[in-house]
Amino acid sequence: MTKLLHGLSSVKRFVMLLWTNKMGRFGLMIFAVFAVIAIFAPFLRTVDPNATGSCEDMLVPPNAQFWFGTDDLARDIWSQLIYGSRISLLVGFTAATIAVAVGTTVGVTAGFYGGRIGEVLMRLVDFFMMLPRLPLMIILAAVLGPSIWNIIFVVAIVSWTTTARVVRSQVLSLKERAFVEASRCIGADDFLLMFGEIFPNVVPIIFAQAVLVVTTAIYSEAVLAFLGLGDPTTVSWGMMLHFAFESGVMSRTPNWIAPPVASIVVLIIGFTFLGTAVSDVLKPGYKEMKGL
Amino acid sequence: MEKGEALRVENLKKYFVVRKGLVGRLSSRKTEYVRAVDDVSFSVAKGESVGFVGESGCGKTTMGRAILRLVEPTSGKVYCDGVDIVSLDKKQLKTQRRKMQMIFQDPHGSLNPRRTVSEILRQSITIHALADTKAEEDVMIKDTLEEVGLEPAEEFGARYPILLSGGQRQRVGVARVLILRPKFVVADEPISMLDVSVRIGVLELLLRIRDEFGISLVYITHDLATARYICDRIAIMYLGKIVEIAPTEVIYSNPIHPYTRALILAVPVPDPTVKMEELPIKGYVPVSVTDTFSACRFHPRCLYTEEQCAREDPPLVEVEPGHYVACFRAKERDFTDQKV
Amino acid sequence: MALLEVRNLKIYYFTRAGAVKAVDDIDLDVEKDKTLGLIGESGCGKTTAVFAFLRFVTPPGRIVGGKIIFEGRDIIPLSDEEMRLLRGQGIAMVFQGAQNALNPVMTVGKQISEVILEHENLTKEEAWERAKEQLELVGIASERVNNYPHEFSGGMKQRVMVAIATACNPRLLIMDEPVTGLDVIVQRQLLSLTNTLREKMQLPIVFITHDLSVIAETCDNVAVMYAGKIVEQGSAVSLYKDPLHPYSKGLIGSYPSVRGEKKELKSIPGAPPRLIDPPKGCRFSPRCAYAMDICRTEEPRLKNMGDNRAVACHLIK
Repeated sequence: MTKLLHGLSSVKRFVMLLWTNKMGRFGLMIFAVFAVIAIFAPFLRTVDPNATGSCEDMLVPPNAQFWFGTDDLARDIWSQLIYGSRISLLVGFTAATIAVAVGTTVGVTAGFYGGRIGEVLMRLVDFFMMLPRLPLMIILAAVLGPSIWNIIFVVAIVSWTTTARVVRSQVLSLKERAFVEASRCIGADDFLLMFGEIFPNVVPIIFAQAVLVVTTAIYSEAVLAFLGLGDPTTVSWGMMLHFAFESGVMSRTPNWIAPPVASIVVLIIGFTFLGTAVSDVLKPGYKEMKGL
Repeated sequence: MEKGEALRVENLKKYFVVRKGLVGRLSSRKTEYVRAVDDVSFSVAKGESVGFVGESGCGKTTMGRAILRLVEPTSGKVYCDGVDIVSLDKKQLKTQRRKMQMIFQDPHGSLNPRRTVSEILRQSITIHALADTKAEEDVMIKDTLEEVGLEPAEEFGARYPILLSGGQRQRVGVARVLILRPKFVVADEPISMLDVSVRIGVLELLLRIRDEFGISLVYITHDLATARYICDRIAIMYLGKIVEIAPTEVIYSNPIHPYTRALILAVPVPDPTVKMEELPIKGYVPVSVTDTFSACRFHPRCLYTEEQCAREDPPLVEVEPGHYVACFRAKERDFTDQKV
Repeated sequence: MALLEVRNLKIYYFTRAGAVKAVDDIDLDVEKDKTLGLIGESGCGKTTAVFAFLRFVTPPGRIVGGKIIFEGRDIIPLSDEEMRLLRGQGIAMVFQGAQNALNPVMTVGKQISEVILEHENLTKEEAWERAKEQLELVGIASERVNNYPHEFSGGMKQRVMVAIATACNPRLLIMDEPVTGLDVIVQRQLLSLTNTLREKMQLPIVFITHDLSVIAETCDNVAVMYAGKIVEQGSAVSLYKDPLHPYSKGLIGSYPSVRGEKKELKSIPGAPPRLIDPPKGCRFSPRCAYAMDICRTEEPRLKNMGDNRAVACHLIK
């Protein structure tokens, strides 16, 4: 129980530290806004985003009832936007977690052990990097079928390789550092060296990578949905743009396109700032250097 | 292994295989070696500090690492407390490691930047299970920090290395090994990267751990001047071999091997009225050393060589009590006064 | 008139956390026929100061005040082009860790002649001949003019750097920690070379190091720097025989010698101050065993004691 409380208080302290950093504050605010939107969706004056309506309610411009207007099937755009945030965030985070976890494992193993294992793993990374991302995503999504989990899988598959390379090169350089040799001299075994000494120094890079992958994931999901490979029953921002495109009236309905595009852009910018702030804040001695 | 010996090294060798490219391999099938440490033998008594002095490429750093098996020796024996550690397996080696430790040259790189000072020290304790409770660990950490002069201990314990000065970081390095109460410590150029005004403080600390805790020191350095202050005996190394070993003041007052004499004459003197003399040495340390000649390693640079020097490798011979020299002409009186 | 006169030189680094007063109001004189040693620990500002002589101070650093008068002319206001012409020909510099400054894919001959061709109107052949002469000057066989840097040892590479720096016969040579990191025998060879330049070529040298014994072997005059300020200046002989400033005394007392009796070494407690917020009054006062009240409030100015000696200390009347 005390461990849990200790963990929670360190998270709280970490967030407060991020808040003091200008970029971190901005990123946190954006993240908070979207998190609130996603969690409290039903309370934000929304209706069922998939609910279609009668003819008079189609393609209605923004008014008091429909804040962003309606689409060509009389669905409320505001509600679609609000509920869409859930999908975007879900796909973004899940795909990023999987990609970073896989990439880190491969990178740490290849870097620490080197030799044959390292070579084999890096050739695997090379292979995946060689495959063109967008065509691969399209083909996989088309083959696997339109479902959110398939989308998550597809995005993760094209995103793990950079993390693997970055982590491996960091591990390689850390391996040679004197403090690793010092621990070996004290008597640490391979496991302790890898996780006790090297891994904590890799964490900042992993976090930075994770944030970048989240932004890529959100963007990739939007692209796939826009191209029609997404799940039509789950409304996401990319899906909204897909329907807008398919309707043929895209050029005349800025109220339909602008909200999802703006949301994607803002979310990506926010996360990029957050990622930069996280990697700064995690540098040892940050607090003291800033005079906190 | 005699009683009262902290360390005994016998015929230690470390050869590195020279990796040749395709063309090299085709042109010569013989494997070439760099003989970084070539048949080195010595012993260190309990509470004694022995210096290993030489220029870069002499093998002193490799030897220090080979003794601790941070780099695997090619052959030879290293006895600590009666046990030949070269023959131990991984598990046995881990227990033995507690008795033999190292202080590193780079104060910045030798401490994990993401660990606080007390976490670094705690690792020493936990790996060798030196304490039963966390409270005991805390006490050991606090006492050791005070021993090395980092007070108040609580404040220093909570700091990350980035906020410590070079001298303070080296003190943490000393604390990290002191906590284990080893039998001997290999100190690899521990002060060369520190500011001049801080060096003496760290040297004094090393002398204290030697005197108060009876920890022997293998002090590796290129700096003959500071070696004088911390070493009881000094061994001069050249290209993987010990060429002279004697009590410290004897090395400075009566150096016999031509290389030792050149080294001592080469050290600048902090007195502007003393003029620099011509050095009794020619040429330079060879850029690459892979020849398998069996001759005196120093003879190409020696002003006093004879025919024998090019044919045979001189053994270390006791010229006077406690003073060993590897030179065929060592026993000749004043041979270095003769001009060749 | 001295070859180089520095007056009230101030160089500050402007960082987000504040201004680091790296060099704070220093005066220096380099005589035409004397070598000046500049000694101090890391962070004392000596490298920053000499970088200013070549106008190499880059942002966030800036020369905030003072004059650097070389051959009668203040070089701080010179244009970039005038400064470029001065470098190499008027004032030349051998950098710290210079062995790594050589281009690995060019022969040393080409690197030396490149400098010559940049500043003088010679043909390629003439420049090549000069390059060979330069190698002989620094004690390297001229046949090696076609060798690449990796074929030389560390000490020899350093000497190639000296050959490059002196290729255009500069009127002043600055050497920034040229022997740091070199083995002692190699170091000796380089110091002999420095003395040759001094005596045979009559080349004035500013020699920067943290090593007192090296200065004793090569310099006529010495300036001791601490925390951005000059605390003592004078001939090398008088500094070693009779140091006046407590810091100089401390430095000399902490230098071991291999000759003669083994003397007792004394360390200086504490550490150099951070220059973002230097101590009030004398910057050495927190570590000084003789500090008086006035030392903590009023900064001592560098006082000329006559007979080629100056010291900045309240203890000295």
